Amino acid sequence: MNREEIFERLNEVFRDVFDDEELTVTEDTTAADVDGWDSLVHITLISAVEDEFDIKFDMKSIVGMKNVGDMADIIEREA
Amino acid sequence: MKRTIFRIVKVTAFMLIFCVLFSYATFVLRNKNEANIVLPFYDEPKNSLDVVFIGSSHMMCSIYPMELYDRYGIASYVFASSAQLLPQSYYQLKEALRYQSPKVVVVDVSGIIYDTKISSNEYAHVQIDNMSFSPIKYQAIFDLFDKSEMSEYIFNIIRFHSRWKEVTSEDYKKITSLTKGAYISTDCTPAEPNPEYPTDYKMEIYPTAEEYLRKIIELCIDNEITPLLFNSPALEEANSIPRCNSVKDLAAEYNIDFIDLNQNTELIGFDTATDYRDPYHCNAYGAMKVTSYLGNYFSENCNLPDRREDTNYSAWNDQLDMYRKQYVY
Amino acid sequence: MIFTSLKFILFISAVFIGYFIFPKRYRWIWLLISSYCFYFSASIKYGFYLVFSTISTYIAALAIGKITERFSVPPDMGKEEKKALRRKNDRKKKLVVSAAVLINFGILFFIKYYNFSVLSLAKFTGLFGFDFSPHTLSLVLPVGISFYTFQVIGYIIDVYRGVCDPQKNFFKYALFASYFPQIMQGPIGRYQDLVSGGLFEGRSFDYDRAMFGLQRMTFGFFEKLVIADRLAIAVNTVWADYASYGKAEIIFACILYAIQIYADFAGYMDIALGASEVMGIKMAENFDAPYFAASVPEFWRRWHMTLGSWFREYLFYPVMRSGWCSALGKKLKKSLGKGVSSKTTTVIALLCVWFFTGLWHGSSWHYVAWGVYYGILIILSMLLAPLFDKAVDKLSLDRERPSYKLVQILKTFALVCVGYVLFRSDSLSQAKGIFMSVLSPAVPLSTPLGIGLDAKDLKVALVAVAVLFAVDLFRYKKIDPRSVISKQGLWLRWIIYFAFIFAVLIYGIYGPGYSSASFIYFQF
Repeated sequence: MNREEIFERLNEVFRDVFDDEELTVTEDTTAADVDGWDSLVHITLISAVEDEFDIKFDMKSIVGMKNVGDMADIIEREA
Repeated sequence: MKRTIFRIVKVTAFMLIFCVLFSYATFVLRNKNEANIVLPFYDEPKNSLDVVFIGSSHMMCSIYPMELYDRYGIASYVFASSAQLLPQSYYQLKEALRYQSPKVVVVDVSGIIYDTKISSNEYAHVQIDNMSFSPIKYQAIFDLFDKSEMSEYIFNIIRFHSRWKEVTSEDYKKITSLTKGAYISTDCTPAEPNPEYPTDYKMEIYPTAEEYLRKIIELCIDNEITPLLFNSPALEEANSIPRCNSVKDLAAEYNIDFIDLNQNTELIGFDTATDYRDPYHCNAYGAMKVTSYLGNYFSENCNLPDRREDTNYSAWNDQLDMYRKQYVY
Repeated sequence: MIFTSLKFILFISAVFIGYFIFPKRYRWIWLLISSYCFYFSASIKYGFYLVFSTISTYIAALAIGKITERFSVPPDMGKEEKKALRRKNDRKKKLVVSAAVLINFGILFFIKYYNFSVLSLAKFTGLFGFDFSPHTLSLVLPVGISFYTFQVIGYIIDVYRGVCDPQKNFFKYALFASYFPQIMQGPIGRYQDLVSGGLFEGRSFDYDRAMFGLQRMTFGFFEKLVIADRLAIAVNTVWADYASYGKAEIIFACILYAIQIYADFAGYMDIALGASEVMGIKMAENFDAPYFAASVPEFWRRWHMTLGSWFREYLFYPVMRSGWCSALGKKLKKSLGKGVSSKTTTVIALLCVWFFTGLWHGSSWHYVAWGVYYGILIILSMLLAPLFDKAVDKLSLDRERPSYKLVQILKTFALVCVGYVLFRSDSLSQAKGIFMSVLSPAVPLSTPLGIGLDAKDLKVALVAVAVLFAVDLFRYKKIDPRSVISKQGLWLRWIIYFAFIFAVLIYGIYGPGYSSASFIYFQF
């Protein structure tokens, strides 16, 4: 899976979780950039991403990820 | 390097301005009880006083230095504060000696009825806060108070800052007075005479009081000053009379005089029905009797110079004129 | 030693001087000595708990580190064997971390909650006719135990998760656990943040940074002594005798309490962070203009932030990620759909978090009620958000208009004030009494009774609160008020500095004239 594919699928997950069809995330997108991305939604988002890519994030990566790029890095490594 | 020096200068200047503002704020905020008794002492020319009275409110109420000057030519000052005990008086004397070299120091012994170093924090503030900024003040603070109380004496803004609500224009003014430490009152409260005690009925002086009374006497002797122990007329409390009888022995030990006007009221014709402001303090009528007695005592025993014709003391004459206008008793 | 005492001023001056005299490499040792002096000056007895927590988590972290190191797999190992080894190691690590967390929570629970638990249990069984009088203990709560326990537990969990490496030097670790600016009331620091913040570095003296630190400390004293302790007089007066007051006074007292507790806690933080800043050590911020929050969840992202993130990372996430929670989620997903499933698990985790947040603040049911109150508000705001959005769209309200935002801010502040009734009261029944006073038609709107502050005090309070408001407005706009001041000319700057210093000295509530109330968060 290349980076582009990962982001394509990630965007779908994000649109679904945040209920916003126009949402597009990039490498540098952070929680502050997306309306409603707080700690509650974060955990829902993580589960949705895990389901999509069939991976399991460990706690270190959940609390450590700074932006969507970090998330994509982990997916690239694990999947 | 230049920057560092500039910064050091800046910080130093800031600290200096802070200190100035801080001491000014402290002065404005603090309670000025009896400041008019004590602060004018510091305005007297150096080494100009021949007699200094040290002690409690008994001193302020029973001795009028202006009368001593007017009638005997004696330059004196009552450097006292309310409820001042002998340990406090010791430091008060030390403070006085920084500015004056009197020939006679009159010491109020009424504090012998206490075994403590101070009577209460309220009164101790009156004394300590009016003292000038000097090592003596800090010696006094370290000796007289518990550790936990020292900070409010070193920085008395700690105690008085909440007075900001009561500050008036009076608080900013320089404090002056014409009475040379006397508290002048014409109020009158009649009282019964004290009971008669046999002169050989004695009770011992409390150790703390005795320790500091001896220190005071020795400090005087070391500075070639004649100490004179004194007790003014007042209602007997806490066995003050039998305790004073023991002071007589102590005076004899040092071969100094002790004038106890509380027991020998007939000596001055003191009338308890008319001469008390309140039963513990003389009013002007009582004070005139006490002051005259002391004036005669000084003329007979102490060989003090008459300052009335002395050109260096012309300010006293001006002050006396104003004093007469202001106080009528 | 409380921060607003002459003793602390002398202490901190000595610490600053000593810190910059010490060689850089050893400055952390000076801080450790200072921190232990600071903590032990309260009571030697308390110190025992701190030392025990320090040692136990230190050893546990090293043990976890050892287990992780052992997992250097031989390259020729098969995939299955590797997995088995990893599982075995994970089990061991889990055992160690659980033991450390349980022991430390156990101490906190025992000291802080034992009496509360047995008394509550007795009351509960009493309802069913089983009366027993429980044996209660007279235990004194060591100051700061709730804060440092959370801090060391956060550390051990982070080591377990691999977020940070264990600290091998015991004394450095002891400094992390006892660093004096934060040990009494937080901020609850993360190990890796404090390390990168320079706790062990011994950074060189920086004039501008030191001045900023001192300014922040001064402002902290201003908040605590001029605002919080002054308002406390009115709040205490009304609370002590709420039944005699009218609705207006009670509502006014609630608002004053909101300001008091903020000025108190944020003032403490400003002193702590300012003192740390002088030495070049960065600690986590705990407040971010909380009363400008436009919603309750936002309020909690701005209020006591380090506690919020502690509960998020070490309670909320683990509960959400736990086996049974995801099992429940999967089950619900099949029967009721994705939306309901994720919301249900979130609600459960949130209730859990807010129950414990309440309990953390004190061993009493009114604190629990206060926590659960926020739990419910946050759950409601989550569940009702779509409905609310629709309503706003229907009414075609402009979300960007300042008036819209202002209404949101005022609404949030009002909800927070309602919560404070639960928080400030001594018991649930008192809180109920206060709510009834506001709602009952029998209570007059106002009474002529004074609230403990005269007109002059109220005037000072008004001006001081206006200053605090202005400063928070700057902070809300992400502007450091200190950098604004530093751009002014020398005289204006100095006038501002002196104004603050003398405002504290003159208008502060301290000294024998009044007894300065101890910091509200002290015993927590």
